[in-house]
Amino acid sequence: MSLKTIEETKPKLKMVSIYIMGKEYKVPAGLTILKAMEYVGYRLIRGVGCRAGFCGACSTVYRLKGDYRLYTGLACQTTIKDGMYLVQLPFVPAKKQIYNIDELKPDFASVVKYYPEITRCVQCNSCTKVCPQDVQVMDAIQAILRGDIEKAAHLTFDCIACGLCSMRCPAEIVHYNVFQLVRRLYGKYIAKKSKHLEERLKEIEEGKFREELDRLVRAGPEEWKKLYAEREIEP
Amino acid sequence: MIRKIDMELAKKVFEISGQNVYLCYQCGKCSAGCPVATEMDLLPNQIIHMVQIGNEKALEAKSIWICATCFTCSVRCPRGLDVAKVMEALRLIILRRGIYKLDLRKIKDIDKYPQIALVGASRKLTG
Amino acid sequence: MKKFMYMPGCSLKNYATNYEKSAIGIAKKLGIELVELERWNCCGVVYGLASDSVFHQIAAVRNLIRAQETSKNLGNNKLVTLCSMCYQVLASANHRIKNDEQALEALNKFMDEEEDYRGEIEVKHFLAILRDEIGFDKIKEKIVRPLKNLNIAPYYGCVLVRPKEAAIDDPEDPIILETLIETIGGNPIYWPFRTDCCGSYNVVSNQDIVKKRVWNLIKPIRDEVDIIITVCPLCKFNLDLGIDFAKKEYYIKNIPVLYFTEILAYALGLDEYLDSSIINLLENMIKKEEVKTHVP
Repeated sequence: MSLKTIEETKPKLKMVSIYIMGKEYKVPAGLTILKAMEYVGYRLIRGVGCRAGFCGACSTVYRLKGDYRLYTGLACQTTIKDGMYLVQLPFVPAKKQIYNIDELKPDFASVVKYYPEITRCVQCNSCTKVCPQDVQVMDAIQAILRGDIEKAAHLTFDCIACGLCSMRCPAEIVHYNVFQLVRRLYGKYIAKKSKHLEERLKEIEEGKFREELDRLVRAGPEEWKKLYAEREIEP
Repeated sequence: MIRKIDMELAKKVFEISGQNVYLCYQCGKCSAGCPVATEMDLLPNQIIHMVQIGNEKALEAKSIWICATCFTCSVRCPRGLDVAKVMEALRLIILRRGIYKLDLRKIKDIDKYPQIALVGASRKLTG
Repeated sequence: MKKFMYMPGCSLKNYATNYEKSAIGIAKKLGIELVELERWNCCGVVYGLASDSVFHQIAAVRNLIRAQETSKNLGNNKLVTLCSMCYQVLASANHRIKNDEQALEALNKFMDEEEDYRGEIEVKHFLAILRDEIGFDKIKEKIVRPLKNLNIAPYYGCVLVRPKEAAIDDPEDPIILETLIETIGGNPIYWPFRTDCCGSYNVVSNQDIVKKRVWNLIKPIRDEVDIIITVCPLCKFNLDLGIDFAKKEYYIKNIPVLYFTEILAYALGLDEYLDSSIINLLENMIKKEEVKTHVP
């Protein structure tokens, strides 16, 4: 019985080729784009964020060998494929308009005042095609054009403002800024008010909890430890 | 003095619109029926003539941007020339160079217009 | 109830909700249900005239594909619109697709996330449905409140009668709206400029052009007309703007501009589908008219 060497017993990694800024690298299959870039030695200080698919910082555009189509995804969520030609978007240029939400109404006129370029939408659907969150971007812009603020707010709930839609848009709309305004209008004017929240805020302003909080602050570490150990825990 | 006729502009217009401007024999029905002719600096039949001889000043006319695309000229032309398409072709030559003829951010009281007006203007006056 | 697919267009959900409300009421009374398309989008308002590009037809054809999807369950391939600009864009795009295979192929390939458009949809304007599918005679039988000889001027605007491939009536001498006015008991007055353009989208960049244009349009009828009826929300906006200006500048009387569906709904007695202000306006006008004719 011959002993195998460490080299022979090491599990063989399947390696795939990816291209970062045009240069070929061999990386183990199964890594995300982000991990693959760090594997080959890149230290990312831009175009990276929560690493959990929620902040929208790591937008990536890529093509595959022999395929004319343009693909997009978040670097922290997308697994690498053999032959990926990668481009990271560290930043998407977009100016956010300054507005006073108290002066606006939840209708088309308020949105077009600050983002008039939404009237240039040609319904090409490029925005929906590149969205990594499967938001129906074109439908949301159309709902805004019709004045249906509520529908647009619901459709864009999952938007993480990664900016891929705005980079592809031929009408130069910055979708996520428009959606931000729409959701704010919805939240302020259309969404149902939460009565118990308003009541609680009133109680706090009236000082109902002032005494209890002051006592707690002045109690000291020994008291805190005791209160913590004796706190109510649900079974 | 013989002026050389340059067919480049007419060819470009044909490429974009499929219309042969040399059909026009200057009867003037298009200009007579045009609803905004009084506001134009050059009348539609004058623009067509300029395209026929290759005078690029047709592209600098205000007329092509005031055109309301009402199709009156097209249905009245006795030679079947779709004049509205020729106007559109001249507009597209400019728009495809990346020049916008409407600044959406500079419209006064933009929130008072119905979306039908704004979308129509955006489509015709911006690329 | 006969069902037709219906594409409202952006304005009808916002600026011209009364147009839609009255039309739905009329359709119901005449045995038609207008089934709104799901997920429709803006048609683009103006038809893209470039022959070398299909870019501006994407919006229109996407709506036609939606209609195609809906027509499978409805068993009916007719798509109805109210806004005449929507009508012309969809009808002209449909016409181009049917005659230009390359354009259809390019559009289908570009819109790869949608099913292919096969050119099966027929686009109809609501007025044409009233004339062709129902007939003005049948409508006359259902009139309960004739408009007692009110002087009504029909304004066709441009795109209902032009260009030829989309026109629902003769571009120089149309009669469809006049027939409608007679059916409801009104008096259609002859307006030589009834098919002349109101100025359209120029109102955004240059309001003065529209104000002058509308003044020139209404000059010959400004004294005898009681109401102007229109088929297009943009025409209504421009006419209102021009008439407002003419009232201040040239001291003309007030001329209300209504959609043709509003006066038809009034004549059919459909109060619940009309704004109370319109009902009051028409009732007052009819009363005044009766007083005029009763002068001994």
